[in-house]
Amino acid sequence: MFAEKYRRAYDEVTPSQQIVSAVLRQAEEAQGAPGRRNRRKIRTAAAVAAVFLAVCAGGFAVLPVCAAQIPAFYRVIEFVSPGLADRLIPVEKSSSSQGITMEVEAVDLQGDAAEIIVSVRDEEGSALDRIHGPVDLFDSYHLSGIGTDQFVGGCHFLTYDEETGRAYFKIEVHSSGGEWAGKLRFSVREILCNKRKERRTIDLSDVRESAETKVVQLSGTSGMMDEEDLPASLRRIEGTSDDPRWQQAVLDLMAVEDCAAEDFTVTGSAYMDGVLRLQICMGDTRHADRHVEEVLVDAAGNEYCADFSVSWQEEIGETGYQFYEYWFINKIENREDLENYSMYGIFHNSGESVEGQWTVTFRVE
Amino acid sequence: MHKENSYEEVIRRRSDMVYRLAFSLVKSKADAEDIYQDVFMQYIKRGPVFDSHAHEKAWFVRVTVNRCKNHWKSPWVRRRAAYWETAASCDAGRCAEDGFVQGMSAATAGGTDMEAEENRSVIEAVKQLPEKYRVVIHLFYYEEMSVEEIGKATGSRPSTVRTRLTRARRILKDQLGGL
Repeated sequence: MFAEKYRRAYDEVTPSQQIVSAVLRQAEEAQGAPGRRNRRKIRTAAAVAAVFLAVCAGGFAVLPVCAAQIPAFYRVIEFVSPGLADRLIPVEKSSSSQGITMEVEAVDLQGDAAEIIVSVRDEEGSALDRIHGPVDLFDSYHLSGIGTDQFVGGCHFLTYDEETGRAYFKIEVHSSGGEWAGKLRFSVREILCNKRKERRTIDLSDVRESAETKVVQLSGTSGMMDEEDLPASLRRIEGTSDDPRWQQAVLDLMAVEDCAAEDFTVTGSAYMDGVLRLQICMGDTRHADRHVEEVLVDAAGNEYCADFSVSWQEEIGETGYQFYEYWFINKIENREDLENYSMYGIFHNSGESVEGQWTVTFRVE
Repeated sequence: MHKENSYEEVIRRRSDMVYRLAFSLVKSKADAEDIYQDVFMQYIKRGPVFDSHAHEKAWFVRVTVNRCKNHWKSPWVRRRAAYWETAASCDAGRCAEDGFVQGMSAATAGGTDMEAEENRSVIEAVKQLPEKYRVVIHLFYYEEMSVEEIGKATGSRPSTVRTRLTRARRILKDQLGGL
């Protein structure tokens, strides 16, 4: 009964034709098939025509209206999200600070939801070269409105466009006041530049057979395991009345003083109770965003993500170091089998924090 | 199967499966589309050669589940999840969660109102489950994979998969009845 209902419900869920076409187009590119450029022109022209019709139809207007030429963001957004590109209305209003220009490129208003495309780039004439790849607004963005009440649902980095030197974001906003009306003000206080990701091999040759542990106060957990499925040694410890935070016994491998504040430090690994445990210090993350996607690879090339991870903070003076411990549970039968496995990590690092004041006010009706 | 001639064929064959699996595991249509693109980009980039359709299906299921796991772990998704948890006072019609259902409801526009409503309630009940339960429910009921196959795809023991299925069914039975 449920199986039938579930199947029927999901039979109706299919990807949009635009996204299927986008993927097929990229497959064509990979195989060197001709014809891509012509289709891109057709799609871009269609997007601009859609914008023109939407504005002329008076459904809503955003100031300033259409630019005389095709805005650069269409080409970029069309590649990332074809469906969204077709719905966007240009705004193209900007603000500069600290050698960086932030521009509200376009909006898509659908009922009580709005998606706003924002870009950041080096200010014209600036020699600082701060924006040359992925960047992060680091939760420092704020949207305020006049005449409506809204809240921001998330900020998602889309892509960096080398041609124009712009990094694009999508901001999702919901309004509690029904239809959009009046002015919106979008501001940013901090931009993380020099984001980079790097694939590094993680050495499994010195995985310890045993290691001392220490109890820390958890700042977060992530994973799909049930608490009762975890080995006893990995179960959380309830907090005290003085400090109700959950506690965890983690590997005691390296003193925090020996970890880098501005980089990753793989502090070590151990295989205990059928669990491969990998510990990484992310350094001081108060004004940086560092995280790792760690992947265990077996002899057949199958890749496995960690089943569970825990995180905590350790401090030296004013510097707070973020630690993560990743657990691969019941993947490896015994320690001797480790020689049949390898591991790599995709290390994501944002280097430089630039604080400033970028504010754009634009009208939606 | 020769990869040089089968990109389009494989993408078309696995397109709905990858999208449905991603849609069942993440919070929004936009996230499902991102994961859909990532999975096929990985396929195009790596160009794996499959021994059989079963091998091909297992590969796409595993890569999609792994991609979703990474998606849940990404700092901005965590921050966003925390935001939605704290914004629990938002009304039913304008949560991000509802964006998910709206995406589905648009897709079901072809059915009758009653069918669409029933479809929506089924999907909504499942999406309330923790991620680890949604994975096994979708692979078991939609992809008709065995407990052992689900275990291989998700990196879990069959006993763990069975436990999760049992618990998920119990929760869904309370919500939907007649399970």
